[in-house]
Amino acid sequence: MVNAISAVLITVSLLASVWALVLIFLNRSVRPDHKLGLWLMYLIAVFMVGLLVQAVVGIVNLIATDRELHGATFVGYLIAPLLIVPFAGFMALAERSRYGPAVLMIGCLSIPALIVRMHQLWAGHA
Amino acid sequence: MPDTSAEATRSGPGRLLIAVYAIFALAATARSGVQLVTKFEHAPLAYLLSAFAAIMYIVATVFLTRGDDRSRLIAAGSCLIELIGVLVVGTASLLAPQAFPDATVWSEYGKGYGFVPLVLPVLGLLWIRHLNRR
Repeated sequence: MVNAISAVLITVSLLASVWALVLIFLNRSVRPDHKLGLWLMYLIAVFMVGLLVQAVVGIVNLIATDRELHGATFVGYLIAPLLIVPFAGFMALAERSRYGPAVLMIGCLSIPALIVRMHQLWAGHA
Repeated sequence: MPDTSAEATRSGPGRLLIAVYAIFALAATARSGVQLVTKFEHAPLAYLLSAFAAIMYIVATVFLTRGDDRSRLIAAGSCLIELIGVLVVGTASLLAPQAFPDATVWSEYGKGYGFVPLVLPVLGLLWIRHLNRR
């Protein structure tokens, strides 16, 4: 698997989580009507593009490889972030309190766990 | 006014609770689905328990989102079953590890998922109690 993509994605997810944490402390929502909320949403959009690239590269690698691994589970770990991040994003936008960024933070923090599991599966100890 | 009471259930801390429940519903459903279809014979008890946990997470997610008085009761019921499940399965997995050749969501009190499966039903019950006291 491409380690550089994963490293970038984990970094972006942690950055977005810290950003969300700042909004929680400032008692702000993730509404796009103020700059901190708007920029966080831009970052989430970039994150989504990265996750999409990871999914495409991962599936291409899965097709090309001749190693033994559980394909369905592997694809599951690639697809799940594409569901979780937009879901958390829309739920966060619907919330007008500081619990909005909290939702987004939980969504972002779950992604590194999925990426690490995906790598364990690829490396053959799952 | 059922609409405002339902809105109260899914706003603020409720929204965070529902988000975590939804992620767990997705994770547990996908995981147990793959396990049941591809290697059921390997650890039937563990995989059936994971599937049961998945259903409880779906029930909690759906009825917390609906949020009216009766839905709260059903959500509280699913939280209670989860709590009993994680305590019983957690204890059983430590006392009789040979019965669980593969991990369930609730093994070792949800250790593999950062103990969230243990904390989540407690938070769910506290949230519903808080709502009903208002």
